[in-house]
Amino acid sequence: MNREDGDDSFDYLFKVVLIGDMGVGKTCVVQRFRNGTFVDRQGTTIGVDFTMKSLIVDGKRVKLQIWDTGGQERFRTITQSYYRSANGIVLCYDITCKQSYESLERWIDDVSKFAAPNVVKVVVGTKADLESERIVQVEDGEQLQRRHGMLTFIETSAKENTNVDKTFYRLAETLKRQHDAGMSIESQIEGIRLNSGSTPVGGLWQKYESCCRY
Amino acid sequence: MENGEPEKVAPASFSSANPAKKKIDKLIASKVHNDPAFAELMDYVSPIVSDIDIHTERRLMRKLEQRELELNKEYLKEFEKVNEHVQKFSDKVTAMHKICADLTDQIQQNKEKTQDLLNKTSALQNRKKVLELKQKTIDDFLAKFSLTEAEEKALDGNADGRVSSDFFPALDRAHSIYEQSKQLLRTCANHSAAMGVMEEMSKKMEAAYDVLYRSIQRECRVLSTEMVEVKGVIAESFAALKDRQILLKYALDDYANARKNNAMRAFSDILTRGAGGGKPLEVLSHDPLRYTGDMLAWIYECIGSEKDLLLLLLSKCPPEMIREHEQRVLASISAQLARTFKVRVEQTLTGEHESTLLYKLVSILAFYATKIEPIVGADSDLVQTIDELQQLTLNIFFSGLNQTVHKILTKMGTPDYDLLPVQAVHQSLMLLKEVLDVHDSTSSGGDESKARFDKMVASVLDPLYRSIQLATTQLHSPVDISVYTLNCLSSIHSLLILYPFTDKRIEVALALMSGHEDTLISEEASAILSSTGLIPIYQKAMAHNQSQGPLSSISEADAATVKRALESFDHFLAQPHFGRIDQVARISNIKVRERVHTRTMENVVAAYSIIHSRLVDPFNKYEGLEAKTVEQVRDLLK
Ligand SMILES: Nc1nc2c(ncn2[C@@H]2O[C@H](COP(=O)(O)OP(=O)(O)OP(=O)(O)O)[C@@H](O)[C@H]2O)c(=O)[nH]1
Ligand SMILES: [Mg+2]
Repeated sequence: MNREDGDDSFDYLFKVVLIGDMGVGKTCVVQRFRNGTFVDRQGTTIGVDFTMKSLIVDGKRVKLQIWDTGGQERFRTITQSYYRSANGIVLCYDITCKQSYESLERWIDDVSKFAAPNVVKVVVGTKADLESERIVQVEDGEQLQRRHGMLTFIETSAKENTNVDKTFYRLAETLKRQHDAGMSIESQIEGIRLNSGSTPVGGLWQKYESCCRY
Repeated sequence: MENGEPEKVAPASFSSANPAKKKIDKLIASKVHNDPAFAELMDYVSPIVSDIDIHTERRLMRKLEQRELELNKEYLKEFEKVNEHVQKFSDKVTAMHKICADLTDQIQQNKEKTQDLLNKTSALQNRKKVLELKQKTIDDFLAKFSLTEAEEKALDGNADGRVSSDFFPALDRAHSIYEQSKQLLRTCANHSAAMGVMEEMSKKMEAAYDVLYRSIQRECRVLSTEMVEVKGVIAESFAALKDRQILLKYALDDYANARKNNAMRAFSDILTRGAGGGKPLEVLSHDPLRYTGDMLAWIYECIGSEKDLLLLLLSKCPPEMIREHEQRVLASISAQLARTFKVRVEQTLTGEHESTLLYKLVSILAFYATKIEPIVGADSDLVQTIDELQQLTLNIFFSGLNQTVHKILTKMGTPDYDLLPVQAVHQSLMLLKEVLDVHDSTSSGGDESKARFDKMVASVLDPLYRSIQLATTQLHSPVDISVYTLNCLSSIHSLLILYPFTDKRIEVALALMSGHEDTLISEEASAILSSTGLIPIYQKAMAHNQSQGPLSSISEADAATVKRALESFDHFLAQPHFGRIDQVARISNIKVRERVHTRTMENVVAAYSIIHSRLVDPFNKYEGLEAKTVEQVRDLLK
């Protein structure tokens, strides 16, 4: 758990959850966004990490509660708890790792199972600085975004600080406008997803392999 | 005059044609007998005239002429004599005149000579005046620009090598003479006297400062042994060094050295022998808190009295001078103490692992560091040493804390069936509480203190969160995971709310909790609805649109199925425990449990209201179906 400081006053509060395979660089993206730094070896995230950051959107203070989840399979069930109240979800894959891209289908499945129906989704291709090792093409990302009706697709590099702030800013902006239009999940009576009662539990994807880097 | 008389008469008798007649007429006309001149004339003529006849007159005439001639001859003769006299006299006068002229000449010459002399004299007199003036000026100058004998003597110091109080005015004078001659030189660059005086004075002052410095050395040596009242001379001596910063520094260094040794002796005494009949401090070495505290208290007192003494010494110095040297000297006096102190504290620290004790030690060190710093300065060895020890203790404290937490957490087992936090969670939280309480009781409230607080919280909570989450991966149902996590978070939360500076941590805990509450609410609402068979109907209702025809025509949403489900739901309404997830009852925090319950029921009602709205819609053709109104359901579930 990272404790973050910052001004407590805000006009909007949104919860954003980052998901994706282990090692795709979720923590690096969050650290870059929060502290403006890039630490090469973050150490795998255990369970979920919590960070806050405020942005100014349309002259209003928008506070983002960012949940950086551990991509390891064993945390899948724990982290699902946090999808339910999420306003935005950032799905991450590593552009140099096909597997991480392919896994996104199952991550998206989880989202549709547990997150609110109108949760704003963004797909992020990480490590854009590793162009020479690119395996997942830009079109693949765009296609995924269109197929799942996501807000946007952006390739980022936490290392070289490309598009990281932009990603969160776009998300915050969309959430704020959605909220202003009265469409936020809080305003919906069915904020909670009801399901058939057989929530997938850890172990369902037991054979799921971690990202090629690990 | 008797000689003039005939002259008058004779010309009268020759002057007219008839002078006698006229004369006689005149005589007759005039009353001759009354005229004395006539009488005199008669007297003169009568002897000469003897007979009066016709010739009388002629004879008279002749006789008179004869007589006149005779008289004239006589007069001439006499006149010759006079002439001769006059001639002689004239010669004499001429001679005299000549002499006079010579004299005048001489006088004139003398006069000129005298004038010259006078001029010379007055010139000399003027010169004399000028010289006298110069003499006076020089005297004045010398009086002004040199030291008196007494002053010279004062500057040499006493026989015992110390200076006496008259040293200082003399030094001041030497100084002011020096300054004045400097001033003189400034106005007239080639003033050799001024140059000379300056040189002289600067030599004298150099010598005097030397004497003064040695005198101070002597005085200080005496001071260091007795540490008694400070004589005025020594305070003045230091003040007199204000123009010799280097000497002052040396003098103060000497002083500091003497005091340093003195303080060191006293410190060793108190450590090994004790003071005033008390026990030596060393006997406390098994009790790090008291030992360190007592040593620091002694040191603090010691530098306090050193400060007083130093201020006495420097009492006559200008404040900026005191400010410049005070801390440096005190720092130097206390430097040796710092080394001994450090060794002692390090000794007591070895093998000490007790978190609270270590933290209390940190506080004691911090307390004295802030008290001592203004006296000896932040850069002093003493303050640096205390800071280092504080850092060292803090490091030991944190590494000890981390180790303890690690030890506790590695023993953390799988959650039990009751889903209450396992022992390790309680232990870590107890440990955290312990250290936070010590922190709270000793906190100075500054930023540093807050940062340390945060670090303590992080040292325990960050690994605890990770362990809890790792432990929950052993659980198989998301409900178990959420209940267990919630219970752990509740414990953490109830600890955090006791302390200030925990807002962010509380926010994290609450956000985590709300995630798990949502999970439980969703799971339980789903469980209720599925146990009563309403879930498929709800899903069909949500997915249905009128183009598909009435909802009742869709399989699994037909009137019979719906009827069965509603009966089952009624059964649930009558016995609200039916179909519920038992784990929810294991939420330890009653408030959380109730909140989960209320919101679960709200969700059930919400789902029911959607189903109900479709059932009562004639388009869906559920004729004769008895369904409770949403309000009825809501009331029953309250
Ligand atoms: N070249 C490059 N490497 C990156 C970038 N972002 C992350 N990495 C590297 O990818 C590795 C994993 O990054 P993390 O941020 O820890 O990945 P994660 O998604 O948080 O992993 P989990 O916490 O285990 O789920 C690290 O070694 C990073 O150095 C990037 O933008 N460029
Ligand atoms: Mg991570």
